[in-house]
Amino acid sequence: MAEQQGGAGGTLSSKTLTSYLQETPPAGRISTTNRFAFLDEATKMEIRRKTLKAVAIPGYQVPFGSRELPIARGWGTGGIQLTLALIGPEDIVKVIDQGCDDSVNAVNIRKFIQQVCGVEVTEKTAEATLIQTRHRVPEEPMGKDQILVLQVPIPEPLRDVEPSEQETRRMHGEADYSSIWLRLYEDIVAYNEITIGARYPVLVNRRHIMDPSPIPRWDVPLLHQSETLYLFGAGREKRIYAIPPHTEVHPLEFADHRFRVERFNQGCMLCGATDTYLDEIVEGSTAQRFYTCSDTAHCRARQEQQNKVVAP
Amino acid sequence: MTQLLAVHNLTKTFTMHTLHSRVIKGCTDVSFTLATGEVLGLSGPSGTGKSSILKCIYRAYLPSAGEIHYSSERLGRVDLGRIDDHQMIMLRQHEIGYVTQFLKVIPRVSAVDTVAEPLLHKGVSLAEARSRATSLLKQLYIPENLFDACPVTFSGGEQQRVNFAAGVISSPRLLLLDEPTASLDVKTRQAVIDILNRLKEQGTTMIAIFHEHQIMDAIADRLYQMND
Amino acid sequence: MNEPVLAIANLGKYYGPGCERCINSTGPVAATNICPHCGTVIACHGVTFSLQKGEVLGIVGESGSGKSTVIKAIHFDIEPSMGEMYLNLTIDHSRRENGLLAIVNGKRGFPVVDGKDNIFTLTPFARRQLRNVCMGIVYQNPMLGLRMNFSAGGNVAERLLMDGWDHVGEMRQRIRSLFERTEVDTKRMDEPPSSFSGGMQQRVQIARALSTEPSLLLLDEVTTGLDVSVQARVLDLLRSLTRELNLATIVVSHDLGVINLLTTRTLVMKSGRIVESGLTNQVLEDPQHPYTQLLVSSAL
Repeated sequence: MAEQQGGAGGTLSSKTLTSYLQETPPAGRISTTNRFAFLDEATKMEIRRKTLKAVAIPGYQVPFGSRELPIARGWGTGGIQLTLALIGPEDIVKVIDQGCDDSVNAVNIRKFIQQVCGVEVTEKTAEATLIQTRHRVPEEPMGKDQILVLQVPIPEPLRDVEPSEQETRRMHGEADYSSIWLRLYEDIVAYNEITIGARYPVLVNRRHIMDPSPIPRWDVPLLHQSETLYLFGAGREKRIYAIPPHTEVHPLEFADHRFRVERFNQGCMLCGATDTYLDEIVEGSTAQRFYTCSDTAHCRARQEQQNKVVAP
Repeated sequence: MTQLLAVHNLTKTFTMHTLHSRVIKGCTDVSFTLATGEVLGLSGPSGTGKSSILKCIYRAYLPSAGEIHYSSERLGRVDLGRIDDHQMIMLRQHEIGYVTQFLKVIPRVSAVDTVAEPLLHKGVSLAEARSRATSLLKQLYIPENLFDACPVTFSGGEQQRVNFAAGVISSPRLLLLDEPTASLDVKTRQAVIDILNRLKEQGTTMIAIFHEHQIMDAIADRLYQMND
Repeated sequence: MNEPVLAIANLGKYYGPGCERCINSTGPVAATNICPHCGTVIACHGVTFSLQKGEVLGIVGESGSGKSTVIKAIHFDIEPSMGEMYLNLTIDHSRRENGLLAIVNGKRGFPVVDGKDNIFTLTPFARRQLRNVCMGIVYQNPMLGLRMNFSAGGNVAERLLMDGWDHVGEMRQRIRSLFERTEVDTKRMDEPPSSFSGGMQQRVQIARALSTEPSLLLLDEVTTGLDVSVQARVLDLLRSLTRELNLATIVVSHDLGVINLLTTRTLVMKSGRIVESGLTNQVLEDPQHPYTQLLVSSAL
C-alpha cells in the first residue's frame, strides 16, 4: 500500500495518479474518487463566483481559496482549478505548454483532466471548447464559444517595483500606477527600450494594470478586443483574473517608444510560416540554430496542408 | 493737495511677557496729517518713539491705540493699523516704502540684485531692474567692483546706501525714512539728499527722521516735534 | 482682494480616543499636546488660515507645535480628524487629453478646484491627482521625498508620468531644464540620488516638486541639518523660484532666520495651536504673544 501511494513530491506520473485514484481512502478522509472533476461542489462554486467577479472587473485580481491538488504549487494548479470548476461532460479540452501539446506537463495535466472528468481531449485548437495553456496563446484565433485558461506564476504586475502586497492592493484600488511607468522610463533611459519580454504589463479596460502571464510580447496584441474569454489562474498566489471578450487591452508604451513584438529573421524550418512565434532550437553537435513554430499543432496542420511527412 | 495720511492719537506700548509683563512705552498720543507731496520731519530726542511711529505706519509694529488713515490708490481710505495682512503686503509692494536703519543682508545675493528686487516684485524685467539698480548705486558712489559682491562684507556706510537704494528704487507714493544718512560722510550724504529731492519733485510723500538738523531743515516742509 | 488659493478651516488631528476635556486640557497655556485625562495626543486643533497666490507663509514652532502635522494634512500624507480645505486654482488641462495615462485619468475626470468643495472629502484617487498637479512638497529628509532606487531624473519623471506625459524625449528635456534651474548637475541625471550630497538631494526634491508646475509649494524644514553654505544656496534658490513662478508657498521651520528670509506672513504655533499670526517683520519685531516673545528673544 505504501509503495503504491508513491512518494510526496517528485514528477507526476500517470501510473501513480491512477493508483491514487483507485485506492480506498482511509476513514475520515474525504473521498475523491467518485466526484466529477475532482473538486467538491463548494469549491467549484467558490471558483465560479470568483471568476464571475473577475469577469465583471476586467484585469482585477480576485483572491480565492486555492485548494490542494495532486500537483505541487508552481506546476499549474491555478489553471487546473479554473478548468475543473468550469468544465462540463460535453467539453473538449486541449492542454498546451509553451505552445506544445506534447510536453511532459501538458501531457500529465491532460491525462489528469481526462481521468477525473472523462471528457474528450484534442490537439486541434478549433475543436477545443476549453484550452488550458502555459505561457502561450494559440496561433489560431479563438472564437466566442471557446475559453482560454492561462496558468500564472506571479499575478501581480507591480511586484517588481513594490514587494508589499498591502501596498500593491492599495495601488490598484487607487489606480496609483506611477511606479510601473517609472520602471519603464528607467528602462528606456538605461537601454533605450523597454526590456520586459514576457509578463508585459497591460492596461485593461482603461482601469487596471494587469500581468498577462509569461506569454511572449507576440501574444499580447491577441488579448485586445478578442472574441474569446481569457481566464487567468494563479494557484500558489491564490488569484483569479479575467479579460472578457471585446475588452480594451493596451500594452504600456510611450509615444516615442511604442510597444513592439518580437521579430524573427527566418521562418519555421518545418512548415515555412513567417507569421508565427518561433522556438529556437540549437543543434547539439553542430551548434546550428533552427527555428520551429512554438504552436506545434498549428505547425502540424500547416505541414499536413502542404502534404509533408508528419512526425508522430 | 489731497490728504495722504492722517494719524490720530497713535500710541504704541510693548508688554514684555518675558520680563514679568513690564510695559515699555513706544510713542504716545501722536497726531498729525500729511498732504500728498509733503515731506514731514520727525524731530525730537532719542527714545521719544520716532522710529515707532514709522514702524506703526509700515505695520512692523502693531499700534496699541489710535488710527492711521491712509488714502490708497488701490484700496481707497484705509486704517493701516487694522487692514488685512494681505492688503498690507500689497501696499508695501506698490505704495509704501520703508528705509530702515539697518540693511537686511541676504546671503549670496549681490548688491545689484538686492537693490533690484523690489522692482522684480512689481513685474519689471530682470535686465531693466538691474540697470536701474546699477545707476542708483552709481549715484550713491558705491564702487563698481562691489556691485556683484554680497553686501554682508560692506562697511556700515556702504550697507546703508544699498539699503537706501533698495527702499527708494520703486518710487513709492509714501516713503518712510529712518535715519538714512546716519553713517555717511559729506559726499555720500549729499548724494542721498539729491535723490530725495528728486523724489520730492516727482511728488513722493515722505516722513523722515534725520539726526542732523541741517538735512532735516533742507528737506522737510514741516516738522513734527516729539516730546518726552 | 482676490480669492485665496488655499484656505484651511478648523484643521484638527487627534491620536487617541478623545474625551470632552481634551481640547481645554491641552494647548499653549497647558503647555502640552497630551490630554491628561484620556491620553489623546492633540497634534493640532483649530488651525485656520488662508494663502494668496504668490504669498509665502511661514509656520514657525518648536517640536510638538503641530506645524509638520498641518503640512502633512495639506499634502494628504495624513488624514485630518476634522477640518476643511479649499483650493481655488486655474489648471491647464490640455496635456491631460493625450496618451495612455491620460486615458486612465480622463476616465475619472479631474477634480474641480473652484473653492467650493472641501478637498478632504474627495476620493484618494482625486486627491492624488490634485496633489500631483497642484502641489509640490520638499521634505527635510530626502529619503521621504525621493525614491532612492530610481534615478534623479526618474524621480522628476514620476510626477510627469502621473500627469499624463507620454513622450520620453520631451520628459527628459523638461527634466534637464528643471535641473538647470535648480542647479542640479544634468550629467548626473540618470544616477540615483542616494549618491548625491545633501544639498543636491534637496535641489532634486525642489525640481521634482516644480515639475508639474504646481500652484502650491510646501517646504517642510528643508534646510534643517544642511551645512550653512549649502543652506544659503538652497534658500537663495527658493527665494528666486517663489518670486519667478509666483507660487503660493508654505515654509515650515523652527529657524526664525529662514522664516525672516523667505516669508511675508507668519503663523506661530505652540502645542498644536496657532498662538500668533501676522506680517513676518511685525511678528519678529513686535511679537505680542508671550511664546512668540520667548522664541524671538531666544533666537541666535
